[in-house]
Amino acid sequence: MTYGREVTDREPASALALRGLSKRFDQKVAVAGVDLDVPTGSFFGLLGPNGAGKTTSLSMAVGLLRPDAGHAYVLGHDVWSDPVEAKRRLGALTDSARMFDRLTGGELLAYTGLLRGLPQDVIDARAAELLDVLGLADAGRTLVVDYSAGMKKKIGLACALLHAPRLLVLDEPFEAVDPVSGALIRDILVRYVRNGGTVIFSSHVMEVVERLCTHIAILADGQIKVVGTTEQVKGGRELEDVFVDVVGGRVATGAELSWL
Amino acid sequence: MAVTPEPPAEPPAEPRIPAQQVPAPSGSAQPAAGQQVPAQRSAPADAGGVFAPRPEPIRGGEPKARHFVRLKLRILGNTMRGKKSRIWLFILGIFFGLWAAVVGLAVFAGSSVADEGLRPTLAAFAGTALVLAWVLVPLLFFGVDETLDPARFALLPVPRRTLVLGMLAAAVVGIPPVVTLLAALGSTIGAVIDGGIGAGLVAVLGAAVGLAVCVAASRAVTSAFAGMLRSRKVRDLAALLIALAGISCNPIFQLVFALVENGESKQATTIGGILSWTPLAAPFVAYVDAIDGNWHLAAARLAIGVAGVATLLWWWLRTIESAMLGTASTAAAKKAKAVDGKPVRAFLPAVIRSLPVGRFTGLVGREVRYWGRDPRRRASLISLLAASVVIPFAFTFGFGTGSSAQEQEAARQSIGMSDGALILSLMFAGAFVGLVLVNQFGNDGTAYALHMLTNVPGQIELAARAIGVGILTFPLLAAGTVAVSVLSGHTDQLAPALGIGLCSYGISVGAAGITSVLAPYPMPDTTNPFAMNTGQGSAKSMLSFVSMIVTWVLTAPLIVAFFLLPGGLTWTLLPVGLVWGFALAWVGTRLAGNLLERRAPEVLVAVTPKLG
Repeated sequence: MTYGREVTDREPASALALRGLSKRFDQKVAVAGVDLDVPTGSFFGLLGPNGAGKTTSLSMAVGLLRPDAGHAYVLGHDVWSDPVEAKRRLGALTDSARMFDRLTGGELLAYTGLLRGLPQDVIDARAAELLDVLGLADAGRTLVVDYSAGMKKKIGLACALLHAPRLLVLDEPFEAVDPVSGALIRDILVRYVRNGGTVIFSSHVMEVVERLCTHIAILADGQIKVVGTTEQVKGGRELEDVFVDVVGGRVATGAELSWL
Repeated sequence: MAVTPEPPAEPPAEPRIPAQQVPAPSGSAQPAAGQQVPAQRSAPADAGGVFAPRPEPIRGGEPKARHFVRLKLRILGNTMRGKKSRIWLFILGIFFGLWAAVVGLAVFAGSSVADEGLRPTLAAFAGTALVLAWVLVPLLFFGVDETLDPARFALLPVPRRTLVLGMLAAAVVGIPPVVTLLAALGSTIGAVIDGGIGAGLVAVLGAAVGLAVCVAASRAVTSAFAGMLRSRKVRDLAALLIALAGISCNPIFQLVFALVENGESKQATTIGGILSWTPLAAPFVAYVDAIDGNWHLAAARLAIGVAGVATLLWWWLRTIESAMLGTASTAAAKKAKAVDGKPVRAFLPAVIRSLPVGRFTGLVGREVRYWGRDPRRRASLISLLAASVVIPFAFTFGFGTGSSAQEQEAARQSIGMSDGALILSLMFAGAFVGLVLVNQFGNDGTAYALHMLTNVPGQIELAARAIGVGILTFPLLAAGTVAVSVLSGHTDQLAPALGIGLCSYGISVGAAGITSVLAPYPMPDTTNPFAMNTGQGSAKSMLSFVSMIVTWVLTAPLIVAFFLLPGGLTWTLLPVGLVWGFALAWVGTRLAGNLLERRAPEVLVAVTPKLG
């Protein structure tokens, strides 16, 4: 059961390194030169308000969206010029992309395993175990399209974990997930990091980020505003206060919306 | 669209809502009968402040049908804003439309200036053909324009009548309805010449009512079929129904041909007479009565048309409502634990289980599963199979099955296709495979991201998709060809027909592969498998025409060879066609695969509903 694990070259200091990634859609600049180092073995939280460019940045980092400029390296392999090696070491959960949701959970895992080139017995064993651990085995022949939001996140995570990647890139893994499923996902990720894996995930739920992460970056207006270990970023304050300060929000004074 | 709030004309009656059933909390006393919900303690007067809720919702203006039209125009405009290529495609669409309008106008004008005895029959047939085209073409090829998805209005306070009228009004905005109206207005020419201004006005009214019949029928039927296709029990029945509908057009073609050939036909006149009292043709025939001075008859026929529209709209609304209510629960989940430790074996469909297990087998297996499970794919596959059986049947039997032997012979001679009918029909049928593949990436949508994350090489991707659809359609096409050639007594043509059919099949797969990579477009996320976006979809779906024409051009040498070769040698077309078709399918797949290798991220962006 070492498929995936055995591709352990001497791991560089950064599991994921972004260099000057930028992307514009028509007139709008979505990401304006993101530089980021995700240390190997870290649990990295990418925070940002809606529309800050989190999804765009992560899509470019995993090779789904072509950047206008810049590079992304997964454990030293350029995602865009050396995709085969980079993507073997990478597991991703995308928030925007659908899954092949007209398959059952088991079928989707089997399909992902076949695409990853895993041997049949390995896929069978791992898929059964993942379904069991994630509490999806009871879903039986239910198609993924009929799953609840939390179940969809869990099966997506299972697909990302199936080939035992060294780096997990998760876009909004806790969005629309009930507390029970959320706790389960959290436990699995914590165990994965403890065993030497690296996780970067985007979120705008402060509590989760504060509790889990060893490192935090705050992205706003397509740029990294603050980055560092959780202690450095917080600097003794509440994370939410730091976040609002950095992003620059406004607070309702009570005079507006008087018609409500 | 400024909606000024206006005060309600009269104080609205207190809505009567049954009292809530409150479960009695154990250990506490049952509240008094008249007051089941404990009264909330009222807040101090100033506590609510500016956020104190108002007792009544603010009344806005009533929504009007014209708001729907404006909404649709705005959506159309927005999809083209800043996109030069879309504007060009739209202009191309207008040119196609104009061409179709001119042809249609000629047909209706021609029928309106025909001589007295023939005029009502021709008008009835032209109208019926138009309505049937509106019903069948969306089912078989393009889907309906569902820029405005009725489900989107579910939460808005729109009265049902306004909703239906608004949807109908919005559905009339677009190229195909305008083309239809222009064509139907052709009958005004004959009406004015023979019956004066009054008859002309009736013709204009008839064209408008006829257009409404077309649009309403196409909406109602696609919507109903969508519902049928969602439930597994009736989906095979749906396939049969489409096939039967196609075959039933056949006698109509025969009658029209006989009519045009011989100048008159009793059968045709009788059937035309019956049709002209149904909503299918009544509005298109009304002007004939006006010419004869039978104004009350003309009015009656227009009324039949209007009644037909009303009925169709009512039916449409019912299916919309049931679709909105019953989407989640139709696929009853079987709770049986199906995993039992062998997910890979359970995933692979039985047809390919004997192949070596691996990435390619997985891709083919997923394709085969998806053709059965994705409603949109299922609908187009069913249409494809129906069409590839119907067309050879229609062509081979349709020409010259008159009532008498002489008639039959005459029809055959005049059309001169008796020899080539089977061959040509197979060329058409084979090319339809391309139609279902032409937006294969759009059909999968953003799920394609998984293939990018797992580094599926482009050529393997395309080859697996081609083989997946091949496994499902190839046997049926071959069997259908054998059946038609035997039943129609053309067994001598079996070999060349098979060769040409499979050749055009292969070429269309190759051509569609290239188109699908170069011009993918997003599909709307609705429950209706026939729905598509106007702005991008209908313009880009014209590329399926291009790929079909390319297929015909590349198959043409074999057709020419069939007519030039002496009868004894036509069998050589079977191996030649197989090789030629296979070679082009291979070349097309290779080319498309290379393109995909370079364009994968662009394809993903193009099929993403938001960004595309």
